[in-house]
Amino acid sequence: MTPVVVIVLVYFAIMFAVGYWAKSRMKSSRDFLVAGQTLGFFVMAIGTFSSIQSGFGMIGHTANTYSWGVQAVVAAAFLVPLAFAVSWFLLGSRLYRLARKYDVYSIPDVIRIRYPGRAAHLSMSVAMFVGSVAYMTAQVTATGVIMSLIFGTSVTTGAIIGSAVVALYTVAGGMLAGAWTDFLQGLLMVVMSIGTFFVATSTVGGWSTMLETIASHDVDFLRLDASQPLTYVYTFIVMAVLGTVAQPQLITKFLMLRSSSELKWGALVASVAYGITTLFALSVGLSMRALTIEGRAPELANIDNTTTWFFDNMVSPVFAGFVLAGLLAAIMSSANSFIAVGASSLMRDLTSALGITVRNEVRWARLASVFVVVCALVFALYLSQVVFLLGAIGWAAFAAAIFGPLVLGLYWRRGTALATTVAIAFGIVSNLAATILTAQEVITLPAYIQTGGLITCLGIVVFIVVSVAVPSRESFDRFADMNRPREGKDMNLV
Amino acid sequence: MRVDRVDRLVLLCFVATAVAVVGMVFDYWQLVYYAIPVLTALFLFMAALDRRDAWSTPVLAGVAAFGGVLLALFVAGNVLLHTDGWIGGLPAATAVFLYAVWPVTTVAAPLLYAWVYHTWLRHDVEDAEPESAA
Repeated sequence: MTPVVVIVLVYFAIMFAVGYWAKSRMKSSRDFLVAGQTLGFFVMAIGTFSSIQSGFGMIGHTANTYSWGVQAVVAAAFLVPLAFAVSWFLLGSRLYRLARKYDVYSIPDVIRIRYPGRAAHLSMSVAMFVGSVAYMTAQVTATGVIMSLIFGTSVTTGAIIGSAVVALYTVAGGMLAGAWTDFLQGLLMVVMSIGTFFVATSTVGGWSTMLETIASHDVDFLRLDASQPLTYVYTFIVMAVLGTVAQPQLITKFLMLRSSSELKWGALVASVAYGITTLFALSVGLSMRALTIEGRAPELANIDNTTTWFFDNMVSPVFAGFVLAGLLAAIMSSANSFIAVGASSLMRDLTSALGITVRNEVRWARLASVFVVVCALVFALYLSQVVFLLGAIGWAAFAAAIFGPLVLGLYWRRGTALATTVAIAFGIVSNLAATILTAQEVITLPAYIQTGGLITCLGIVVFIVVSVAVPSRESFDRFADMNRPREGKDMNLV
Repeated sequence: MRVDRVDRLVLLCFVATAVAVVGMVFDYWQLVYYAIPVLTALFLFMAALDRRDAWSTPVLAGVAAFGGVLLALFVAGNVLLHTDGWIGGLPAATAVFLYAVWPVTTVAAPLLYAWVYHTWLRHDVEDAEPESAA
C-alpha cells in the first residue's frame, strides 16, 4: 500500500467518524439541515470558506494561472476574501435575526418569509434543487479524476467510490456532519496550501527567482492584461465577488450559528483562510510556467493536468498524497454542502411550496440526499449532454437568482415576489441560453465578454426594475412583518 | 411611499451595476473596473444601517475610509497599468493587486466588519437571542 493510499484512507476514516458522531446526535430536521444551530464562529467560518473553495478553485485556478498568467488569480480569487467580508456585512445580522425569529433552514425558507404567494418560493426551491444537482455533478466528475489518480481505478469507479464516501457521512450526519467535515477539510486545505507554496516556489529557486525566470522569458505573463482582455478579467472579478455573496452553501451557514456573538470574527477567519488557499494556485501555476521555461517541464497540451503533473513529478510521494487528500477535501466540502442544500429543497422547500406536509423529516431528508447523489452520479457518468446543460446552472445562475431577491430583499422594502420569480427565471434561462447558443455556434461572443458576470449584473438590474415597475403592497407588508421585533418564534408564516 | 436611505442606496447600486453592464457589453473595462470598489462601498453603507435604517457617524466614517482606500488602490492600479515600473518582481499594476489590494481586502475588510458589528450592529441582534425574548 503506497503512502498516498494510506493518507487518503486515514482521511476517509476521519470523515466516517465525524459522520457517525453526528448521526448519534441527530434528532430533528433542524439538526440535519442547519446543524442544530450549534456552530461557533471558527467552525462556521472555516466550513464556509471550504465549501466555497471547490475543486475548480484549486485545480482550475492553477491551470488558468499556468495558461493566462497572474491575471487568472486576480480575476478569480484575489477579491473573494473581500466577498466574505461583504457577506458578513450584508447577511450576518439580518439572517441571524431571521433564523431566531422563524424556523428558517434554507434560502427558499427566507424567500417564503420575505415574499407573499407561492410562485417566488416554488421557483427558488426548484432553482436550489437543480443548482445543487448541477454542482454535485461537477464535484462527482472531479472526485472521479482524483480518486483514479490515487487508487489507480477508472474515473467511473473513482467517481462512484468518492461519491459514496461523501454520501455516507452526509446522509448519516446531515449538515452537522457536513459542517464539521467542512471544518476539518478546510484546515487541511489551509495547511496543504501553505506547504505547497513553499515547496512549489522552492523548486524554481524561490519567489523572486521564479518571477525573474518568467519575466526574462515573457514580461507580459505577469501583467494584468496578459492574455485575456481587461474587460473579461474585471467582469470575472465582479462575478467572483457578487457570486460568492449569493452562493447557497455560504448563506445557509449563517443559519447555523449558535449565538449572535459568533458573528464578529467569522469574516476574518473565512477571508484569511481563503486568501491562504489562493497561494496554492498562485504558486503551482507560476512554478509550472517557470519550470516549462527552464525546460524541466513540458508545455502541457491540456492545462487541466497542471496540478497533477507538478505533484507527480516534482514532490515526494508522501507530500503528493497529502496534497491529493487536500484536493479531495476541497471537492468533498463543496459536495456535501450541495447534498444538504439539494435535500432541503426537495424534502422541505418544494413540498411546503406545494402544500404537502412531510412527517419524519430526518428520514425523508436522508432519502432526498441519496436521490441528489444518485442524480449527480447518473448525469456525470452516463448523460454527458445533461452535464453540459447542468454546467450552465452553476455559480452565475445562483448569483443572478439570489443576489437581488435575497441580499437586496433583506434591506429593500420595495423588492417584490414577482421580481424574485423573474430574476430566478432570468438567471437560469439566460445561463442555459448563453451556454447552448455559444456551444452550437448560433452566436459568437467577443473574447472580452464574460457571460457569468454579465448575467449576474443583469439579474440584479432585472430584479430592481421589475420591483419598481410593478410594486406590491403585500411584499412591502411582508418586509415590515419580517423586521418587526421578535415576540415569539413564528413557525408557519405562509 | 416616501424615498428612504435604502431606496437611495439601491438606486445608486442600480446605476453602478447598469454602468458595469454597459462596460461589459461594449468593452469599456474602466466602467467594470471602477464598479467594483463603488459597489463594495455601497453594499457596506447599506449593511451599516441598523434595522431602523439608522447609521452611526463613526461607523459611517469607517466605511467611507475603507471605501476611499479601496478606490485609491484601484486608481493606483489603473494609473500604473501601462507604466514600466516594477515593484517586488512584478509589473507595478500587478504588484498593486498582489501586494496591496489582496492583503488589504483580506484583512482590513473583515476587521472593519468586526468593529462595525461590535460597535453598532450587535445591538440589532441582541433582542433576537432566546433569553432576551424570554
